[in-house]
Amino acid sequence: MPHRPLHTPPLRRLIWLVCMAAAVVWSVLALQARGKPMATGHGLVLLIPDARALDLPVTRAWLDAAQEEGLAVTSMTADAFIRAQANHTPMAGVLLPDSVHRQASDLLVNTLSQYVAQGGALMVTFDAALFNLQSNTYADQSSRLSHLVGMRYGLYEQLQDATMTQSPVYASRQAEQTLHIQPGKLAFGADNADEWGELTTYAYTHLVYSHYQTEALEPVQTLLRSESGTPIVSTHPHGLGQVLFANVPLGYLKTRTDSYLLHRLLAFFANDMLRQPHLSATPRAQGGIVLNLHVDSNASQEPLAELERAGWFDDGPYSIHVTAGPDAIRPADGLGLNLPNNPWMQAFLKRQHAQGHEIGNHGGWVHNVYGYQANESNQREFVPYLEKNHASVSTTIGALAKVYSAPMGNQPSWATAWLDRQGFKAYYATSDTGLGPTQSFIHERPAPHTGLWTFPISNFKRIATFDEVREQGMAETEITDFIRALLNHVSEQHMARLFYFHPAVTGQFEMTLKTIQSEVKRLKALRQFRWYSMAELSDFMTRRQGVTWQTQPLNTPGLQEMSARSATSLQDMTWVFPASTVQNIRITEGQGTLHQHQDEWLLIAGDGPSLKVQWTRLH
Amino acid sequence: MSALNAAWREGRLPRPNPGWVWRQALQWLVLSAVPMGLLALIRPGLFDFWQRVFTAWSQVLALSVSTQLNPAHSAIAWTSLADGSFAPSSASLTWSVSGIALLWLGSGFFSDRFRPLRTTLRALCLIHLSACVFFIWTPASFPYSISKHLQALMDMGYGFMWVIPPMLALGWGLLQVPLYQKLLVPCLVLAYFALMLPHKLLLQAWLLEHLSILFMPVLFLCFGSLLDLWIFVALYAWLASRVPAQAPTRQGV
Repeated sequence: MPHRPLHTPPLRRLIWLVCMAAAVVWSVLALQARGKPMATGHGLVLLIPDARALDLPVTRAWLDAAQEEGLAVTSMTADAFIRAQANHTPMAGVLLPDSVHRQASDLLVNTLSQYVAQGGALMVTFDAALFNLQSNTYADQSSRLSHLVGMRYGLYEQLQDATMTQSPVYASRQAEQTLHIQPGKLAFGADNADEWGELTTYAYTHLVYSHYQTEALEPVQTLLRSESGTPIVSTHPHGLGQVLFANVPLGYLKTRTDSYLLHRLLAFFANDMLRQPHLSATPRAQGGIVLNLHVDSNASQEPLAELERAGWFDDGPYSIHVTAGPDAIRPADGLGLNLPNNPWMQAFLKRQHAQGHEIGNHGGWVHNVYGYQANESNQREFVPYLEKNHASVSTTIGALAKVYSAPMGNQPSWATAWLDRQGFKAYYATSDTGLGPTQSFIHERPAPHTGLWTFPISNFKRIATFDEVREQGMAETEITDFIRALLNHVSEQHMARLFYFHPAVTGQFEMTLKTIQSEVKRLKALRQFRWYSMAELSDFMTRRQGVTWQTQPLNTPGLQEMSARSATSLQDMTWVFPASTVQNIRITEGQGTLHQHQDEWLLIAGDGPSLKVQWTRLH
Repeated sequence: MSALNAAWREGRLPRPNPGWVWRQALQWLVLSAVPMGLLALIRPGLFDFWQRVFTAWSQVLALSVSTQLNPAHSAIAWTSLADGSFAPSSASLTWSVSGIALLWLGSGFFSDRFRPLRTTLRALCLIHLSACVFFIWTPASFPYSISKHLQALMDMGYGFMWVIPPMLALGWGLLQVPLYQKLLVPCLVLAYFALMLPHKLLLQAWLLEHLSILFMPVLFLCFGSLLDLWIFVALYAWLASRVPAQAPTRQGV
């Protein structure tokens, strides 16, 4: 019987070799595919250490801020970023957040460095990448990103307890223009004479920010600085790229009701440094103001009648919020509107409601009692105040009130939860001043995405409304100039902001009211302004939240595409493109119109679930 | 040891002459101390020389890493600013894993005569494969940069140079060679390492900057201190092989 040879190694081994090699190549390619999309590239990227960081409030703060500023930002883990850079995947810009990304490996730091050197744009924030990956201690004598930001910081070995310090923050006149800082946010001394204006918010004498001490390495462009001159926000070129350094914990601050700098710097980085398109936060990118009237006592009745006679309510819509109880300052003082028993006020509110003005609740039934006494622990006592006010106002206008403002800005978290349960759409807030509609963080927790929006007030230095002008020893002209500047700012920047006042004091501010009327008339004639109601903007913002969009480079050099999609409709969603970097822009799918407005292209979506545009990007 | 003591007690083995032991100890001490003293004496000059070598070749090779000699000329630090460390691309990983597979299977064709080579190659394959797996899964966790790698290798190499004199005093000093050779050879071996070490580091820097830090583990584990040790053993073996063989004589008895 013939025997098969015992050894057939060469052929068998060769087959094994080929099979093994094929399996290995396939597995490597499959694993590497996790880093996709590689060929198409990324837009703006928020660099987080790993997927677990997505659950952290500060990460959520960054992503919420980007969404509200209308930026197409996606999160990316450090692993994915390193893979993407190794494969030379294009990336519009990288955001390195504070607090959540303190620890970083040398490889990540070097990859960031190479990304910038090759022309990338990076935003470095505060303590990002300061610490070792393993030991969670300062990784070097100074931050490993020092050469990117142009100055040494994180000098713990040298400065120990003085590594960080605190100071108010100042911006120059030029930086105010460059960063498009909102009127009223900066205080340039008593006569507006100082070169550097202090960043302010409502009711705080000084806004004090923690920041790292720095040592200059190379010249940087300082946009914001501390009292001692330490750069707080600066830009620095590195290689072919640019770095924006924010020496304050932007995300941490947003989770603690101070969002302005995060929002402003994100917008500056994306819109001005990277010249990226953004989704406007107003319908058809039309700037405007929510004019919020707080009617909190019967002292408002006569001024309201006067305003109506003067035709003030022929414009609008305004947002009129009412404290409906019989008392205002203390129980049984009889100074309240007593709406259920006040025929004139009932008729007035019905008229204004019928005319299109928005009627809402101002607390609280008894203004000062609620404003002073409601707190986190007496929900049971004060929810009835909210309920009575709500019932009274809603009964009067024959519809459920959907907007709210807290007396004295006193908004315990249970009040926000109550508003949410009752289906309210918006509430005014004295926190996060300088922002448009936002979803505020409460006690470091993100607000639920339920359609309830926070409308922060627009502060004028340390005040926010007429009543406080005299208290601060200011002249009427100052707040008049502020409102004029604010109106122009919102119209130029396509944004909506809230300004509020108490009708009771309007008699002392006739010049201001006339200025508002004339300035609004002028801007309306230019089609650059409109009044907004809180509910309308809230509905728009909720619908806008459902829009997913991204930009990506196509195969042809310079050719870019933006694709947008919504589960409902994209109607009136508007993208703003910087005209200087856009050529041959055209709609390739869906309905919309394109307008050139000054140095911008406005893409206004029509009624449809999707939209695509292509353009050639000029550098 | 107890068996040795028992043999000494029972007289089966002659007890070592205490004088011989002290002489050998003194000789080891002197033969260690002279090159070490020399090394200590020339340390500033050695670091200065290394710094010049690093600077000159870094420019020629266009390396991103650079060194800084402290004012006292007592330490060299590899700077980490703009370090050229970069992660491997998908293509590099694919080629690496494919190469590992080919080498592993290809080494199966080696005859028994090349079994040591096969073992060595497969050991290298395993180390490099582990690096590939690491960089596929979690590249951001890789804790080293080129500058840290070079710093560690330089520190270990310099540390190893301090160990060479005592080792040679023990292994070379016992051989029947003239005293001047006993003193000169360790100095020459040190000189070899003083010349080889910076060039080895520069070569590794160049390789890492061109091939990615995927190759750092294999370079660190197999071509770092282990390579220094191999070279030392090879040099010692070569030197010992040049000493003329002599009839063994029992000394110190």
